[in-house]
Amino acid sequence: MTESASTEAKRTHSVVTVDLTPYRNNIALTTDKTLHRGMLNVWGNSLPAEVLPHDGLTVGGIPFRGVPGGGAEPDNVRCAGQYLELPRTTADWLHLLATSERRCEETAFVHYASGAADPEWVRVSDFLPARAHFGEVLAARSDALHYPHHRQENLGGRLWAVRIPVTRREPVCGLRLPDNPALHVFALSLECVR
Amino acid sequence: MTAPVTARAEWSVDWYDDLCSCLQIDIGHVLERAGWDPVRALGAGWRFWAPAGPVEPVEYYHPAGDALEEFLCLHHPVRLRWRRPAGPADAHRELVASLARGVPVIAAVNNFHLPFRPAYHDVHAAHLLVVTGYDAERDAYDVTDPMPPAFHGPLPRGVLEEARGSISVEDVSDPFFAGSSPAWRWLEVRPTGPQPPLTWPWLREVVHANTTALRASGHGPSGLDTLLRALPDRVAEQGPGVLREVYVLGWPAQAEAALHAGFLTRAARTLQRPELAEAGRWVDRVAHGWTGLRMLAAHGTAERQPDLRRLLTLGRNLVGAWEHCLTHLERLAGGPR
Repeated sequence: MTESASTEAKRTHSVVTVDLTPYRNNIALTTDKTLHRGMLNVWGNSLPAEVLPHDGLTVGGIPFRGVPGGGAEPDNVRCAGQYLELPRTTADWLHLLATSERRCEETAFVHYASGAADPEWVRVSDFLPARAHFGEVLAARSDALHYPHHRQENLGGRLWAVRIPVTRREPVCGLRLPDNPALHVFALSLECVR
Repeated sequence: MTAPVTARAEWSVDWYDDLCSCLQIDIGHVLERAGWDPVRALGAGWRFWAPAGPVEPVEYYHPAGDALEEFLCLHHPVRLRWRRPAGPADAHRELVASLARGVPVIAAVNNFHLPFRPAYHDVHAAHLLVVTGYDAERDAYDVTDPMPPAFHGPLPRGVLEEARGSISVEDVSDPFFAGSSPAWRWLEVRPTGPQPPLTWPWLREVVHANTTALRASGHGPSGLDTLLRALPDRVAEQGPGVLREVYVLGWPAQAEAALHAGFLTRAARTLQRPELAEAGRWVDRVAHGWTGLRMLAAHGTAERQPDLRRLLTLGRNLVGAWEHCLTHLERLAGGPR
C-alpha cells in the first residue's frame, strides 16, 4: 500500500546566471548575411539568430543570460572538456541552454568548493527535428534552418533546457564539460532552492 | 520572430527516431503500411559488423551490402532486396510492376533534383524516398519522404527519373554523401508472412540471438575495437579522409542501437516488465555513444592533423558501454526459458 501525506512549505528559488563569454568558441546563430559562418555541424548549418533573444531568455522559470547572436562572434561553447569556473555558491541544479548534433549522453563533473568532484549525466536532444528524448524542456525553436548558401523555411532547429543535479550539500565551484564536439552550450544558470 | 514552442511534427511517421537514416525510416514506413509494428520489426534484432570493404558515401549505406536480410528485420518474415535495373525504361517498368503487386518502392535518389529537399539545387547528396503510386494519365508518381522536412505528394515522372539516374560521381558538394550514383537502384521491402506476436519467450530468444551474434569476433564491440585499432595506420597511409567512413558506417550502427532500445522500451510497457526498460536504457546509451565518435570523425576529415587520441578515447568509451550493455542483456536472456 502506498500512503500519501502533503505538507505545505514555502520555497525560495534563487538563480545565478553565469557569463560564458570567455569560453565561447563556436558560431551556431547566424543572420541572412552571415549564413556562411555557421558551425553548428560539419555541414555548416546554423540557427537563425532570432531564435534566442539578445537580452536573455526564461525557460521554466529559470532565467538565462542573453547570447550574442548574429554570426559576428562566438555564441556558444562547443564541448571539448573545458573547465568552467562557477561562482562559489550553493546550488541544487545547474541549468544548461544547449543543443546537440545528434542527441548525446555524456558525463560532466560537478566540482565543489570542498575539493570534491562528482560525475553527472548531461543528456541533450538533437537540434534537428526531434522529440525531447530525455524529457528536457524545449527552450526555443526556429522557423527555419540556415545552410551555408540558403535559408530553409520548412525545417526548424531546436534548443533545449536541461538540468544537472547538484547532489552534495556543498557550494559548487566549477563544471567540467564533456568532451563531445556534438554538444553546444549557449547559457548556464545555477539554481538554489531553499 | 521566435516560433511558439509547440509540438509541430516535421516528420511523417509517429515512431520517427532522429538517430535513424532514410534507410531504417523508409523500411519501417513500408512495413507500417503493411500493418506491421515498424519498431518491433526493425528493432528486435541487433547486429553490428565492421565492414572490410569500401564504405559507399551514401546516407543509406549499410555494411550488409546486398545481404540486408542478415542484419535488418531479423526474426521477421521480410524480403529485403536491392534491385538494380539497367536504365530508365527498366527502372520505370519494375517500379510500376511492384506497385501493381501492392508493394511500395524505396528508390535511391539524388537530393539535388528534388524540390522538397533542403539540398535542392544546392548539393548533390544520396537519399531514399518511398514511391507509393503511379498516375499514368498525369505521368506522375506519388512519393512519400518521411525524413524531415517530410513530404507527401505527386512528383512528375521526369523529376523522379532525373533524381534516380543522376550521376554525380565527381561531385563533392556534400562532404559525406556525394560522389555516388543512385543508378536506378531500388529496395524491395515485402512481408512474406505475418508479424510474430510480442511474447516474453520470443523476446528472450531474440535477445539471446542478439548477444550471441554481437559477442562473435569481428562483430559488436570487438568489431568496433578492431576498426578503431586500425585507424591510426589508415589515417597515416590514406589521410584524414578515411575518417569519413567512421561517420558513414556509424550511422546504421547508431540507428539500429536506437531502434533496439526503442523495441525494448516499448516491450517493457506491453509485457509489464520494468527490467526491459532498464535493458533498453543501456542499449540507448550505446546508441548515444556513437554521437561523439561519429561527429569527431566527421570534423576530423577536414583537419590536416585530426586528434586521433581524442577520437580513440571516445571510441573506447563506446566499446566499454557496449560491453557493459551486453552483460546486462545476457543476464536478461539467461536462465530457464
